[in-house]
Amino acid sequence: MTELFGIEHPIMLSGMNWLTTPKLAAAVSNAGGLGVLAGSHYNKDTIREAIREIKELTDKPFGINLTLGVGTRELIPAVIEEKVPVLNYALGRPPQIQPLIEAVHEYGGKVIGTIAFVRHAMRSEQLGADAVIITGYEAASHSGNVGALVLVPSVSSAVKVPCIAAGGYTDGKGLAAALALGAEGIAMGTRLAATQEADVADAVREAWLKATIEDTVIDPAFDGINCRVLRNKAAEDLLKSNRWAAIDALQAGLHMKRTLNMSYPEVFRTALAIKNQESGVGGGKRSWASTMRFAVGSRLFSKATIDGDPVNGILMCGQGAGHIEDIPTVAEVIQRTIAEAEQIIRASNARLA
Amino acid sequence: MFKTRITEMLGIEYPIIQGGMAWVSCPELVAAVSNAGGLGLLVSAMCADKEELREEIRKTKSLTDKPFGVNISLFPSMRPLANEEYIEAIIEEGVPVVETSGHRAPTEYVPRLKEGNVTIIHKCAGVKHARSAEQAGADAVAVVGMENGGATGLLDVGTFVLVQAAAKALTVPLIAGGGIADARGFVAALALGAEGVVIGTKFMATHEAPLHPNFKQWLVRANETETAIVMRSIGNTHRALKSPTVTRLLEMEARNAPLEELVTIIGGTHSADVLKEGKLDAGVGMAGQIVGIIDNVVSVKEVIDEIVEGAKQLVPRLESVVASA
Repeated sequence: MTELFGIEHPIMLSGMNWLTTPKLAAAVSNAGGLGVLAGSHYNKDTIREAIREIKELTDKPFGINLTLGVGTRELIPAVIEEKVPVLNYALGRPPQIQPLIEAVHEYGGKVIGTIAFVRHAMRSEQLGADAVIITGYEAASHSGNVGALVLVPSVSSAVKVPCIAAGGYTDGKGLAAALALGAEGIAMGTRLAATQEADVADAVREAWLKATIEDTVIDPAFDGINCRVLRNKAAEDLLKSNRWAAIDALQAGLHMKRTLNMSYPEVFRTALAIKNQESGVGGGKRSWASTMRFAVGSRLFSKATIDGDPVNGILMCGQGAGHIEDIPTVAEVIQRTIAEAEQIIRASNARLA
Repeated sequence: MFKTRITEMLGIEYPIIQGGMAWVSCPELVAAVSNAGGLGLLVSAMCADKEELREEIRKTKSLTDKPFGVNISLFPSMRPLANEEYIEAIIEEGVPVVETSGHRAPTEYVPRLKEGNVTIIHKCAGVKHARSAEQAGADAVAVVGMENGGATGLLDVGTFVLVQAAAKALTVPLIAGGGIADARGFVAALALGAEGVVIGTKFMATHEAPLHPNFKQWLVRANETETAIVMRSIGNTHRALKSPTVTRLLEMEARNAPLEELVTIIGGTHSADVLKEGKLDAGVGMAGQIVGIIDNVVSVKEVIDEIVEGAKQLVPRLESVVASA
């Protein structure tokens, strides 16, 4: 992984919509990891500005994460033209993925596919991805239902490309274990977002610090496909209510229209596109109910992260948040992770004697 | 080699414990695990009474002179379990280790077991449960995550995250289970803070396991997505082979079907049909997500040797990775 991307340490930042910023991504790259900016909530102009901002802040390799499908098509030209060193895609269908990989390879960039099942990893490899991110059940946001302990060795024996383990990794114990399971490195999400460089509301940081490993829940209720979030008031409300009435979706649609400055036909086309995209993790297309959930979920996600309300908003959160107890700098996280992993592996080696 | 507090405490060579499994943990399997340097566990709940357990213990003793143990179930059960009687047989026969398993701590049995010089391992699926077992006097605690075959607990935490949290919360040695079958999982569990592992499903795919070839072949064939967690509606979650019948069970549970209806599928004899008769669709056949990486049926000794030899090769390789980082 370090050789592939030209980085110092086998640690990358998971692209998290609303949570990763150019500053955070650059901080991770400057600390010797691979900083990744989640791009899907930008538009075609702001994504270019964000990429240029990262380039100003670091001369090290970095990446952009795109959830393929709705709305991201128009972001791709900026990523290609700016020759982003690493593109990390999630979801999407082969006809969209393959030309994208080819375009990135053409300028010498690398591509990572995010997957949650063995067969998706094999597909990513076939399509030409240079590495895969294995998202275990423990991870924040979208994942399958297979735990890291099983999924990492399953995937790493099934593909030849380097595997990066994601979901639940917060320290050197996790890194050492991931390497033992066959990964070549790890992606950290919440751990690297709970740092001084991240632009996250104090209330959200507090929520992460307080969370235990049992305080999250995974369910399709939040945005229509299996998604792990903090079990807060908003999450409980969504889990309890079966009121996926059109009125909620309509409100969410209006919110989307306002925030993204869309016309009504655009809103409708977007909704239709969401419905028609492959929902990825589980496969198949979304139902209208799932589409509505996606619309409502999007609004609640931004309420948690942008408005800084982790009680009434939905906060994506992994089980590993239970291990987070401080807000250090990015460099501290990376350095102590590497040091602890080294120490653990040396101790295991000593045990063998 | 691989000296941990677990190997010291149990007097075994490798910190590898065979999980107690209904219909599976027969004297032959248990003795094979102990003979190979791990610790085998019989299952008391499968014995009608104290004398039947005594028979099983004696048979195991005739097959090995190494330490082995007996599992005592604290889970809700269709028939009341004579746990006090089982414990008397265990003490009378001089069995050195008991593994209690359940959501609650084995508090009421601790004094008698300690008096009988029995080492107590408590197996559970959450940090709070682990801590209360330690407080109740367990000598070691095993935690299993949601990948586990059989009982998974109600918290749905992945083994990877759970082990790390439990290691931090406990002072007694920790054993990790749920998703471990080979050297990779073994080394990972130790890195996360465990001092031993408990392995169930992988030992089902051995020559010594008294299971129908159909079921063993399913273990080899199945991928990581072919199990499901059942019995959540009655608060007794278990992971099992995902068959059409199990899918029907999940549908019943989704509409809150009464226990009488669920019993037509979840009864123990139906499980025996799956495991022993090889009728994969007859009921609930317990198995963990780790079926995804099981690709052959081997001997118990080969399972343990692979872990030990694999770890010997793996760890130095990891050292060179971090040294160059």
